[in-house]
Amino acid sequence: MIFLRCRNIVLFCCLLLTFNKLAVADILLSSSKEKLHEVIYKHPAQKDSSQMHQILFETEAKEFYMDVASVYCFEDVCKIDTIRIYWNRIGKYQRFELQAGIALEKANGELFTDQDYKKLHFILNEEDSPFKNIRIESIISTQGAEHSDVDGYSGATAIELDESVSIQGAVLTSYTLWHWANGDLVKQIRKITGEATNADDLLTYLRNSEADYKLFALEQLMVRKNFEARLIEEIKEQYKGNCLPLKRNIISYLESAPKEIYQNVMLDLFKSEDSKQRITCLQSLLHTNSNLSSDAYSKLYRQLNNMETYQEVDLFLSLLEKQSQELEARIAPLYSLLANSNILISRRAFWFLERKNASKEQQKLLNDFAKKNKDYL
Amino acid sequence: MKRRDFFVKGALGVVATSLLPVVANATPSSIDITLSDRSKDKWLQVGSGKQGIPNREQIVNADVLVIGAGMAGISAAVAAARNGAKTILVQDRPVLGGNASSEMRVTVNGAPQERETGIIEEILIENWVYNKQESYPVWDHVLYNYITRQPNLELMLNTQALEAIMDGDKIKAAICWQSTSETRFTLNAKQFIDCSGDGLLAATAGAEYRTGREGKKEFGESYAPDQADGWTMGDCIMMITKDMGRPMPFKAPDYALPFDHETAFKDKHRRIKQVKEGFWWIEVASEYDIIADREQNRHKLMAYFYGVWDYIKNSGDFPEAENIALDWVGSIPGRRESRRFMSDYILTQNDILNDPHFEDAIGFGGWSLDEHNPGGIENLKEPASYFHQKSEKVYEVPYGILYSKNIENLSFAGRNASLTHIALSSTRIISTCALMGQAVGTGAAICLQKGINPRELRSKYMNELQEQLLRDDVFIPNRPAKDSNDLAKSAMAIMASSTLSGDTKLLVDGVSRDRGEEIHHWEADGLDAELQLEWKKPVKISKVELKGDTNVLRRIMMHKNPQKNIQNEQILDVPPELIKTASVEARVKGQWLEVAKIEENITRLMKTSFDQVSTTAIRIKLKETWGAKNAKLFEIRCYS
Repeated sequence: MIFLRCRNIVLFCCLLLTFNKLAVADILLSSSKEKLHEVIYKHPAQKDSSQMHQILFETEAKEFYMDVASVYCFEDVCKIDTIRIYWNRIGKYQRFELQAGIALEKANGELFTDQDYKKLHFILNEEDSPFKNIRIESIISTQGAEHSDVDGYSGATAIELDESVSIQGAVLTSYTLWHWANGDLVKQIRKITGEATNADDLLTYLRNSEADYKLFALEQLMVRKNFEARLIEEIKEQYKGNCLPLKRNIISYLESAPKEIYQNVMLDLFKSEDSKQRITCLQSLLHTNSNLSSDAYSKLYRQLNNMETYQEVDLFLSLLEKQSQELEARIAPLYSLLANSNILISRRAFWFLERKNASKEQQKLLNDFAKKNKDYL
Repeated sequence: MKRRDFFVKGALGVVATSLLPVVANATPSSIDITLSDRSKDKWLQVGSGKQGIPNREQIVNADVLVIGAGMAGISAAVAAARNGAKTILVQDRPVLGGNASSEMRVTVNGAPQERETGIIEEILIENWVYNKQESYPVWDHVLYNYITRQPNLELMLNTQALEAIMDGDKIKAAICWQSTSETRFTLNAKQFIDCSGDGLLAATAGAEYRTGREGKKEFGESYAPDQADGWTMGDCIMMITKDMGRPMPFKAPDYALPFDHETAFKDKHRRIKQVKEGFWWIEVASEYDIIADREQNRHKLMAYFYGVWDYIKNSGDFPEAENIALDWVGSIPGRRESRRFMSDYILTQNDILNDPHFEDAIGFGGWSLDEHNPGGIENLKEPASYFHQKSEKVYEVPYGILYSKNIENLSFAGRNASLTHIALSSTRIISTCALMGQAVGTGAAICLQKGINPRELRSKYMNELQEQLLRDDVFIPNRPAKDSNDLAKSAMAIMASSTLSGDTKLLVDGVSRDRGEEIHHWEADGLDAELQLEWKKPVKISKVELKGDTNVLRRIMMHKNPQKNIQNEQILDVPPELIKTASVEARVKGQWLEVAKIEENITRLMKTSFDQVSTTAIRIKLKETWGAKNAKLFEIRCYS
């Protein structure tokens, strides 16, 4: 549910009372026009399984923010403050703010130092923090619980995390805030932005220097199944970069395209000097059980002499083995592989060719190879 | 007194009672009878119409005898049997599991930093297949199923090892009494492993042991008392309750002792935070000889327990308990500490906190120094436990604390190992004890193969023991596997159908789990993933072994209060990351042949065995997991 009207203080307070149990007085007010989005979120540090209704604000500058509880604590021993977290339009955490006079607390009532705040920002900025896969019960002490875990919810944090990824004495706060900044809310922000973008916007995102935007664009294109030529051309261009997640997502995007588009783009990408890229293309073609067109054969064979690693030769021959049509003309060029100095390559070719019809001359090549390499077969 | 070794020389089978020595004793103050002497029986078997004397004496031969079937003993027996030793596991109770059994219901905790793998993990995962409901009585039978299906392993329940028969400094046999069959067993073996906790067999063998708390000075332990004393950590009983949906009255039994809640609650650990599953701080200890005090302490524990429950139910302070009724209360206390047998090395507080590297490491621990107070609930002036300190990372546990310093063929594992009182406060956690068990069981089997005893194993063959443990999926910190028989290491290429994270090269790096940021896995992008190992020249292979992913950072134990695991969103099933279905193919003369299938797999270590093939390549097809979208492995090994 999206509230598109201008926000006013009355509405804001009503929503807070309805959806947010945080103290109203802790909320900072803004005077600009902003969109309000009601979102539902189950925070992993919540003791019960209820989902929380939260208000997410979208600024005119397409930034998002939310006021959240700094910590979930299972005994009334933690001081809970309200903290404002900001995300960019694609759900990447940006920064946090505290109301003037509010300071976060560590264990034993000690206040956060400047260094702690810097570290907190660093922690929240780390999408792949160890917090991602840690459950709350690992964060809360299990010590003294060999019989019953009765101390499990004491709030005394005991997990041993590297100092670089947590703040000593405030592990639970770090955990709580990390899951606000990097949890399911991120998806909800991406969804909101995605629904407000068109193909032109996505093309712009693809050309953005930041990989996060490129990945966001791909994600949206896959959802929409949009395979417009101008987008495909840009995506081929983007594959030249070094970002592995982007490359992986490009392949996934292409694999979801209509067969003709997929095979053409894949073979264009195969025409590369990079062995790893050729391997990726062959793996994809094999994985998708592609039935190769004549044109595809031609494009593949043009790279035959460039195939330098065993893996790509193996994949190439495995791909051929899966094809329904075997033409003599397509087999003959493969005899050159018997002369490859890498025994793994020449042996793979030998076993492939051994099962094909061979001319007298070809049979002699096979016999000679078998004789010469009998210790390797 | 050492019993005569008259029976030890006997062969497997039954010895006629007429041959038994009759140990008549006219002195009433001394008890020394042959339990199996039934010569006075006047038995008429009406079916046959014959009178006779029942046979109540048996002699059984084995390679390895394991006393005590808690999780340490189970691990020891399974490890010994799997490594080729004919093994007998003797348990004095009708159920398996010891402290972890339905009789005591102690949670199978381990190092909180990262989980133990190997036999203990196998069992914990298997429990989710047979016992999703987290029933303790069913858990007993999960263990029973696990033990009784192991080749080479014979289980004897309701059997108490009473005494060791010695040949100098070697144990030759254990005299055991099986209460259900009224039978006295003489169990002859070559290696003996006492995992019974209290260690009666080891004690009667004359193995040196200690009880009580060392003073600070002896080992330089800062958390030890200034002066040595006799205190041990105490025993506990647990409870389970149920919500009856209507108010349930409670009347305390006559022997209940009143609970001084005002004093008790001054320690935050002693507060009543739930009414579902018992209170570990209802504990009674002893200052001199806790074994002698056991029955007295059991009675006290029951009295204190019912006193606490009376307070909960009838004080009016716990309205949440109004509909709650006791469903089960333990009758056998769970035990933390009694005898600690001395080995060539004694593990101390400093070994746990400073985490030195041991060349003879066989596993790890990680629990804090969780030393319960002297006296337990009878000493409310001190905290229920001193959580002194925890090692940041897991610490190494050495083999040197797991065999007797003066009895040649005796090993031990669990709480009776060679530890100071302070070190025990950490190592006593069940999964740590189980790792010790797997080590001594494996060690005993190697001792048999080589005709040696544990001390010689430690001095000459530690590499072999460590390699076998690593192969069997025990994790030993700072000790990568380097098995020269593993042919996977000599493969020219290891190729994957896809790689999402890690690298195929890491599958043969000898480390079978990630270490923080240090990656040791290969993860495919999706399922139906393939791995292919290529050798330049043909190799002979009959075994391919894989180590999958079970996420060792996640807890997997069942809990006496299943609701707690649900609240914590613990996965109550086989770990979703684990490979469920896979196959192994070998390329022979250019043709791929399927040589092994892995189906319905529930173990992290997947061992396949097949007729030996001469091959130039092995292909592993990882078809299905228990839910995860990607196939992930930590290790691949190939053997002739």
